Amino acid sequence: MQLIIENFPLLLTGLWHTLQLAIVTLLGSTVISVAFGLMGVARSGVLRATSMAYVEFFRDIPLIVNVLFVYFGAPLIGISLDPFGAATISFSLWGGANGAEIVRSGFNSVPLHQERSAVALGLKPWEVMWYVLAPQALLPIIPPFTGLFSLLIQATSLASMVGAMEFFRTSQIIVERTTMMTGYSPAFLVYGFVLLVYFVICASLSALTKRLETSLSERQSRRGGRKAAIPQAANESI
Amino acid sequence: MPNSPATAEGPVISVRGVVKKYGNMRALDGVDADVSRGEVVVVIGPSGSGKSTFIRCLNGLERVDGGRVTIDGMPISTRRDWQVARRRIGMVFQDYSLFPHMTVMSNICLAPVRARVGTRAETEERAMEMLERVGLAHKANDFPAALSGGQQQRVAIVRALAMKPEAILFDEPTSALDPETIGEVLAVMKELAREGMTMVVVTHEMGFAREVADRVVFMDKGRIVEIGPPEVIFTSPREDRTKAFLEMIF
Repeated sequence: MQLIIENFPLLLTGLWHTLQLAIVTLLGSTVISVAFGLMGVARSGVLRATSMAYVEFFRDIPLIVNVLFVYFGAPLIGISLDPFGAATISFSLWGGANGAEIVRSGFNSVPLHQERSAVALGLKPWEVMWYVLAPQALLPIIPPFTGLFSLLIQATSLASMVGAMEFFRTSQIIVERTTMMTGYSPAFLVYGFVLLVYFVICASLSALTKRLETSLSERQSRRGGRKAAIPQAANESI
Repeated sequence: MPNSPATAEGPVISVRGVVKKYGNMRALDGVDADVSRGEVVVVIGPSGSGKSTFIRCLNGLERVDGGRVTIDGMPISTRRDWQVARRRIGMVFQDYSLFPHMTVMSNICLAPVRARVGTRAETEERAMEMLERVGLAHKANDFPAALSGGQQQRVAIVRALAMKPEAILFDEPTSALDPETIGEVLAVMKELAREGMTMVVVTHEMGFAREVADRVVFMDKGRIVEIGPPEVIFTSPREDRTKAFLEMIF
């Protein structure tokens, strides 16, 4: 415990970098997910094929290879990326591919007749999307997306592979330094602390989205609710 | 009913030589038909005769592979043409297709408010009047899941009416309903017909066809076999195929 307190400033810096990594990664992933997810349900075959190729490509390579490739590959095409940049870009590309698939299947879970009847009302394509399809796709999207978010937060520890000074890397340094100075390894203690911190972050994230999810589905069930005390003839409806 | 006087004469919907193919199968094989203002046209025929495909071609939900669809004298072809035309040609589906995440009121008001048929306040007021008339005013703030099938279908009809359409297409509006709720939906449709709404109805309800239709269209194998007033079609059809079909169902 002494050790953790002594090295607290270093750990805090690491944690701060991890949070920055996570926030940028989650934002980037979400933007890519929505863009490619919508392309995946587009009318145009070209857009659908593009989205599918992107999703397949990035889902089929290990994240760590992806990180190393972006970091060491970028200079070859004349871009120099710092560890932070390389890590966020590769995490976002990977998260975006997985998220796009989640968004796509969320939209696919909305029954076809919903789109058809919205179209039949003379709504414009974006109105059909925004008012009718997107709100219905949201509920099935949230749980797997939370899972992806928490996976991405954990994945930020891979940024240490390209030398980013994030939380996991700083704890590694502490372990190494202490081992060298004192001759005994505090690995169990330090990594135990690290584990706890990641757990707290991800667990509170899922708790938060759980609440969001319940409040959303409560609204949905209120749809059926109140008057639905009488036997529901509703479920067979669609 | 609010039929716009834009073009006084001429059919509201007119189709000429319409062909629709699914692979090698011709679901519609050269169909010609006109729907005049205020007319109720009931389409009957065996399943797979193309009657649902036909009615979906009338508002562009199926793109035709040949022939022409004209609304109010204007040929409709592009996607954008259809999107605008659909505001004037309402449709009610077999599975009601209310939006489950919106209240009854929001379901009804979404399209007319977006299309600026009226302000939100006006639209809501009209929606309330119409709900009153179909006996569902007390359900205005409920979500569709709290309604029975027949109630949902009546809301779907009000939703179509809220656009102040010139015609409404009904694609087997009672086929998914419990027998005891079919009557309440048919009653609303009969009232609409009485008020002069232009309607095209695909249905298996022969009683409705007999009572309400101005003309009955009998379709088989993607073609219109016979068109005529109900008393002729149901009592002395010209074509053997019509006879055979009617004998089968009565």
